[in-house]
This record gives sequence, structure tokens and C-alpha cells, in this order.
Amino acid sequence: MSAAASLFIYLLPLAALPVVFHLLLRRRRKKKVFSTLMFFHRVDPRLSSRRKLRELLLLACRVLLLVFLLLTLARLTLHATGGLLGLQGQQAVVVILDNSASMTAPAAGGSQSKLHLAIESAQALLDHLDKSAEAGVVLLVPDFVADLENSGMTTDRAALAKSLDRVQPTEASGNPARALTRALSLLQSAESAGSGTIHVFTDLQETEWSQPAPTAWGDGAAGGAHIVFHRISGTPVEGANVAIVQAELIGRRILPRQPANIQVLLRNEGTVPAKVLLNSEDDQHKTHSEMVPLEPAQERLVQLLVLPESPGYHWVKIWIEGDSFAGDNRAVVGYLCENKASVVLAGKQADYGVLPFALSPYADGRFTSLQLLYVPVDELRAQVEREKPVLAVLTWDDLGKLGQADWLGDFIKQGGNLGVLPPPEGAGEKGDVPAWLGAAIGVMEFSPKDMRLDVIDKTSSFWSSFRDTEGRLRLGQVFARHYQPLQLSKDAGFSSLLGPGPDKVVLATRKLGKGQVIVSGLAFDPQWTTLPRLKSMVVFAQAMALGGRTREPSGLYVAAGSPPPALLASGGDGVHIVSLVGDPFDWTGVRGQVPVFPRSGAYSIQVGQESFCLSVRSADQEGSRRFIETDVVPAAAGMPYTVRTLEETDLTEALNASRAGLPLYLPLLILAMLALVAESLLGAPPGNAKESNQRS
Amino acid sequence: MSEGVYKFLPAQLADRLRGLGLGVRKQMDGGMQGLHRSPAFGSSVEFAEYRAYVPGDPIRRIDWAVYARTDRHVIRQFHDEVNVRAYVLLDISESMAYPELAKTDGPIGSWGAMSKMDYASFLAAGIMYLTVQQRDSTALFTFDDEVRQVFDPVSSFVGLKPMLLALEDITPKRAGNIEKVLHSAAEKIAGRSLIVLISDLLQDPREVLRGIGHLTHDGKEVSVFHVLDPSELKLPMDGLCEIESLETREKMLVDVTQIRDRYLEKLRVYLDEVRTGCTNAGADYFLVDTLTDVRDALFRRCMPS
Repeated sequence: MSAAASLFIYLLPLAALPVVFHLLLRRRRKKKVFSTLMFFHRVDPRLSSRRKLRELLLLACRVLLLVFLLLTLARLTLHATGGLLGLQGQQAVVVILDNSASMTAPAAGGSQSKLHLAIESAQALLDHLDKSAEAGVVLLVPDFVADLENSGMTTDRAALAKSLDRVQPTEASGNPARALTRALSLLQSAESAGSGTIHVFTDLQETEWSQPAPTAWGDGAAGGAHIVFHRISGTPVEGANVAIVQAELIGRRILPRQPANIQVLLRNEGTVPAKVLLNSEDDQHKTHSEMVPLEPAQERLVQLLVLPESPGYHWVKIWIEGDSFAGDNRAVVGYLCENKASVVLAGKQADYGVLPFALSPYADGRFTSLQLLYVPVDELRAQVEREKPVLAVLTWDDLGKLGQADWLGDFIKQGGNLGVLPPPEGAGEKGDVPAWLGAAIGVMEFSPKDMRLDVIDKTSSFWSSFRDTEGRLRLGQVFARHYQPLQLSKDAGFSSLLGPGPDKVVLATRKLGKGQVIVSGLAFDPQWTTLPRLKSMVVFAQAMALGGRTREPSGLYVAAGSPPPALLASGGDGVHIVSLVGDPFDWTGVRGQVPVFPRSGAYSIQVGQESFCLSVRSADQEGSRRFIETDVVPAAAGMPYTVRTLEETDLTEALNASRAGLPLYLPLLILAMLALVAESLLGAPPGNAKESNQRS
Repeated sequence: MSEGVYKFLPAQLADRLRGLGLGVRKQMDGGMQGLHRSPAFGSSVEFAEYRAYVPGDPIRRIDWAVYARTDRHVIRQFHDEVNVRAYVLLDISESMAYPELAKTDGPIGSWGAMSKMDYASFLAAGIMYLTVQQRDSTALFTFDDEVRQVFDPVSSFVGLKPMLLALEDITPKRAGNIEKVLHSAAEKIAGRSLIVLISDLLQDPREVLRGIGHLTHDGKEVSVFHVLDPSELKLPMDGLCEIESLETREKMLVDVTQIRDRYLEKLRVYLDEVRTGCTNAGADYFLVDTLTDVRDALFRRCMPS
């Protein structure tokens, strides 16, 4: 309620003048004794009380007459929306703005997005607040670009408006519990000490708001706050929606000029077949596009090849075109390309056939970034401990000379790779291989004609480098003339890679700690097998060298809006995060306080002496088309709330209408006239009253 | 009686009362020869009737003139004349103290020169004086809600003295119950006698009239002096008043100006009802206000009706 002429409001105390005059000028009551009250009782004892009542009514009429006249002159205007939206008085108001990816969809009945409508409505709501009312804004997805996480309650409308202007669409999923908790804490910090209204502008997507409320929200959790959900409906979409469910580099070391595969998992969330264009662009301006068809509810794994030219941080942007919802179509994969790596081979080059050439043609790191070192067997330990190579290669005979070689086992467990193979002349029985290896080599077998070697375990991660973009294994036909079958321990967990049959394996691999062991019954010599003649030999050699991980993790992957990875979620170590691509971000803090990333991007992370890459993709569940249509919001269960549907213009119109208000001039004037009439009737001379009494 | 001894029978009043006589209409029972006709036959000069002579009657009472004309022996009988026993019933209830000057702002009006109690005491003293003066006997009952003091009939001025002194000691302090007292008096007072009731009769008229009816039904002649203050008859004031009842201490806030007319109307109805009731019961009714001269008030009773 507002007054155009507030001077008359200040004059309202004058309405008490009749009371003052009444008290000052009223006839004094005289006390008299009398012989009997018999005749007074007979007259009508109610007369005196009637008179008293009439006097009071008369007084009230005169006071009301003055009050109504003053209010009429003050030209009051009634603003009636406060009751509906809880904006009246000095209440504190917190606006929760759903800035999740689903809000980028168009709002129902209009051309603007749901987020745009939410921001406009929130702005209108804040503009409508009383000047002294405290307000705050909370985003459903914390966004460091908007920088609202550290803002508190304020009466500065301009600052709030600027904050809302900074709100941008995200590709993330929101956390209602976190937002409501933050809103409640803001209300607690307000002068109202907890009481107030939380206005939530959201599309009530089920994936976010159907999560049950925390158990801590029992009775009294709201602390006097009331929640108003403004549901923003979207335009129904029937087309296909393909989301990037996963985009990760295959877990291996990445070296300059070493190709690496990015696995991109796509899923069609829609109800109709989709045919989308999968695009990628890396920091070296290499682009790639391919059409990917997907049936409804189908998932498809697509491989993208990256080839870093230099060591350091690199990234690849991946996005989809051609579906109905763009909020879940983006991903960025960042990775750290290391410098040259060394491979230590025990003995002479001739012991390993073509393997050295497949690893590094010039042995100096050209083309493959691998440097080859040949060392005597007795110096192998010192060389390994000094160089920390990615791969150590031994013949079965040399391995037998090393005894148990626990140091070699430790090297593998820490991320090194070990290759053991027979020399071209075949492996003899020269000592026992270490027990931790879990494998031994058998006697040589000859085949009168080339025997075909089949891939036995096609699901082994060793073959990931051999797959084409559609996931098919592209090894080629491999034949063998000589081979020494492997004797694999069942408890060692070997994965059989090649062999004439499942019961006769000539190539196998196993994980040992962070590294891997590749044992071979084949010498990589054309006299033994056709594998050295295949192009796959190079890939095979690179997979041997780079399959294990000397570093863990090699990369971190999260969906936008999700909590930081476990590595960054807790602890007090210092963390420095700088964005590689995406929103500009340079943050220094401690683990446990790492912010949520609202959009896809790649970030370099420095934790102590360790460096990682964090890759953020859009949240795939934001493409869900299921929204809460009822008035029950599980995420707010336990707190008082109401749900109203926000049309494109209704809130603005309602607030504008309430701002215009209802003029009270005429009703107050009528009330003043009624008070005047009543005063006239009650103030009539007593004779009239007596006559009326007699008539009655 | 020495002048100035009695408060309520000063010499001036006694002098002015001389010559007045208190008559009765009904036949009275009296123990002594007096001025008033008795229902019994006696030796007065007033002829009553003839009756046949019966042996044993004194021969001297035979009316020989009648015998000469009729040849029958008859005896002439005469009404007996006796004195009257006048019982003064004096109301000493608290309302009789009105207007009492010691109250907060004073009584309404205070027109009267004296309170109703004083005026009634003058009346009682005057009546008793008149009674004794004409050789009748008089008695005094004071009452409020019951009979408080009883003075047996006396017929001499000496016997009148205690009653006159008792009047001076009266202090009204209780609520009254006239009907109850009148019933009680009717039981206590035997025979036909004069009852003089002096009261303000501020009670339900029907109750008062029931008591008076009881007395008249027993053959008593009743005279009622209805004593009221002029302010009770006129309600001479204006404005908002908190009125307190003398007897009940009940308070009532009234606008006197507003209700005066209706008050006077109710008072008139009340007085009419009392007057009519007394007349119908055969009692004499005299409404006197305290401004009326005591002799004049008594004179109204003494005038032949």
C-alpha cells in the first residue's frame, strides 16, 4: 500500500481529537444518594447503557470520519500481490534461479528460453520488493562466471540486477538440496532471522527435483521460510535428442606424434531415430565430422583420433549437431602430452626382430617419441631405475638370468611395462622366470604350413588402439610358422590375445599394479610370424610401450554440475586450476573447495607436484523430457511450499498490475460518507430518541 | 409539659394542635369511657334501640312512655362510648433518613427542611399528643424490616414522655419490610383500634396494600401518612448522575434529564395505586411532603371526612 500524499498519513493522529474532546468536555458524573432506585428500575435501566453505547458509537463515528477523510486525501493505493507471493512488509526474499541446461529449451508459448523467462520474472519480482526488503539470489548450478556464490542478502537492487544479468545458460545439472540449503542459510543471515520466502524459478525437471529431500529437513528445517515454486513449462519437443554420455581418452600414456583415441559414447534419448553430426576440433585446429545414426534409446561408441604434435596440455572440443536439444551436446577432452619416453631393451637389437623398428625407427624418438636403449642384462636394473622407461623388454632367456627380480616387479607395479619374448633362435631353458610373472614359455612347435592366429579375448583393452571408428578390431590376418605356447598361471589374470586356439596361447597380457606385462611365445621375426609384416605391428609395438600408466590418473572426467572428482573432493592440499578451453577460470584454493563446473571445458589442475587434466562434458540427463506436473516436489518435502505455474507474461503482468495498485480514494470516500451519516443519526437530539423509544 | 423539652413536640406545635380532635369512623373497642362509639351498649346519651323487658332488667330502665302507648314493657338501650387506642406505626427504615446530608454530593435537590424521618417523628408526636389530649390512649411501634420498639398504650402526658424521648433516639439503619410488619402488627394489636401508619411506603404497592388490608380486615381503622421528600416527587436535577440507593447501596448511572418524565410518570402511577388501594381497603390516605406544615398535615386527618 502506498500513499500519493503522505502528508495526510502523518496527520492521522488528528483523528484522535474527538476522543480528546470527549474526555475533556464530557459531563462529569455526579454521585447522588436517593431513597430508592425503585422508580429508576421501572423507568428502564437500559436507558443509561443505551446512552453510553450511543455515545461510544458517536465517538467512533467521528473518529472514523476523520480517519477516512484523511486517508481519502492521502490518496492511498492498495498493492494486493504481496499475499500471493509473500512480498509484503519487510520480509526477506531469496530467488533460486534454475540455470541448468534444461532451462535453455524454449519456454511454452514464447520464443524466449525458459532461463530468459526465469531471469525476467526474477528481475520483476526483485523490482517489486519493498525498498528496505532484503533479497538474495542463488543459482541451482553454481556458476563462477555469475559469481553469486559469495553474495549475501542485500537491499541493493542494482547489484542484484547486475547479478542476474551475469547469469548464463549452463550445460549442467542442478542440485536442489544444495540450492535450498544455501537459500535457507541466506534467510538465516537476514534480519528476519530465517523467516521469508524462497522463490524458485524452475522447470521442475524430474531428474533434479524428484530426488528425495535430505533427512535433515525435518520439522522446523524451513525455520519460518516458505517456498514458492514458479514452474516454467517448455515447448513440447518430439524430435530426437542425442546426448554425449561419455567422452574419454583411452587410458594410456600420450606422447607427441603418438595417436590416441577418444571414446565418445552417444545415446539417443528421444523417441525417434536420430542422425546427428558429430564434430570435433582440437587445439591444433584439426577438425573432424562424421554422421552418426542412432535408433531410439540406442547407445553408440565412436572413436576420435587425436595426434598431439608437441608435449603439453591439449584439448579437443566435441559437439553434436542435428538434434532437438543442444544443452547436452558438448564435451571437451583435455589431456597432457608428455615429453619423449625411453624404452630399455636388454641385450642386442637382433634379439627382438622388428620390434625395435616398430617402437622407434631411428631409436632417437623421431616419429614415435620413444628412445631405445640397449643395455646388458646385468645393467638392466640400474638403467631402469635411472631412466624410468615406459617399457622394458627382455627375452625369456635373459629373464631367467635375473632370478626373482623383485625390483622388476616393483617397476611394473609403479606403471612400467614389461615385454618378454623369445629371441629369433628360440627360447631355451636358462633359469627360472620370476614367480610374480605368472607365466612361462613352452617348447617350440613347428607348423608345416602357416598356422593362423586368432584374437582370443577381443574385449581386452590392449586392442583398443586397433579399433576403427565403429569399434571393430582391425588387426589383420596373422599367421605363424614357429611358436612357443605360453604356460599361463590361472591366478595371474592373463588376457589371452593371440593363439591358434583358446587352449594354446602365444601372446598374452596382464595388469600388474599400474603397469602391464606382455608375454609372447612369438619372436617378432618374419621367420616366425607374419605379424612383423603387417601395419598393425607398429600399433602393436606402441600399445606395448604405452599401455601401462606411469601416472594415475591420467585424466579426470566429470559431467557439468557434478561434484568434483574424488581426487579434488576432500583434503586440504593446495590446488591451482586454470582453464584450457571454455570459461576463463584461474582458481587457487584447497581440495574440498573446488567449485562446480557449469559448462563443458578443459582445465589443467596442479595438485602439489602433480599435474592433471580435468575434462568436463555437458550433463546428459538434462535432455530428459520428464517434468513434475503435479504440485508435489519431493526435493522440498518437509518444508512448506506451494507450486504455481508461471506463464510467459503472467508474473510480470501481475506485478505490474499490483504496482499500479487499486486506488482506494472512492471506497474511503464512501466510508467517510457512511460515517458521517451514522454520526448524524446517532447525534440526533435526545427527543427524537425518546420518541422512537416510545414508539417502540 | 415544659416548653422545649421534646424535639418533636415543641411548645409551638402543641399550642397549634390544641383544639384539633382525632375522630374515628368505625366503632372502637375501649376500656374506658370515652368519646367514641362502641359496638357495645352502654350508658351514653345516644339511643341505640328498644328491646323487650326480661326479668332481671332494672325496672328503672323501662320506658314508661312506650308502655303507656303500647302497653308493653320495653327497655331503651344506648350505645356505649369508649376511648380509642391509637397505635402509631412509625417507619424507621433507612430510606426515611433521606435526604441525608452527609453523603458525597448531597441528596438530590435537598428541598426539604428536614429528613423524612424527622418529619415523620413530628407527625407521630403530634398524633400521640392529640390522642392523649382527647383522653384516648396511644401507643407507638417503630419498625423497619420488623418491629423494633413497642410502647404500650398510655392515656396521659406523663405516659407519653418515654415515647417522645424515644423518637429523638431513632437512627434509621436498616432496610424496611412494611408488609411483614403490618401483618405482625395485626397479630399483636387486639380489638378495634386506630392504626396510624407513617411511612414513605417505598416498597411494592401490592405488598403494602396487603398489609393494610390485613389491618382493616381485622376491624381496625387505618390512617396512612405517606411521607415523601419534595425531591422524590419532582426529581429536581439534570445531567448524568450515579445514584446510590440508601437502603440497598445499589448504584445506577442515569441521565436524569432524559428519564425525568418517565420517572414522574412511574411515580404518579405508583401513588395512584397506593391511594386507590388504601381507599378500597377503607384506610385514610394522606400524601404529605416534608415541606407541608405538620399541623396542616394533621389537620387533614382531623377534618371530618
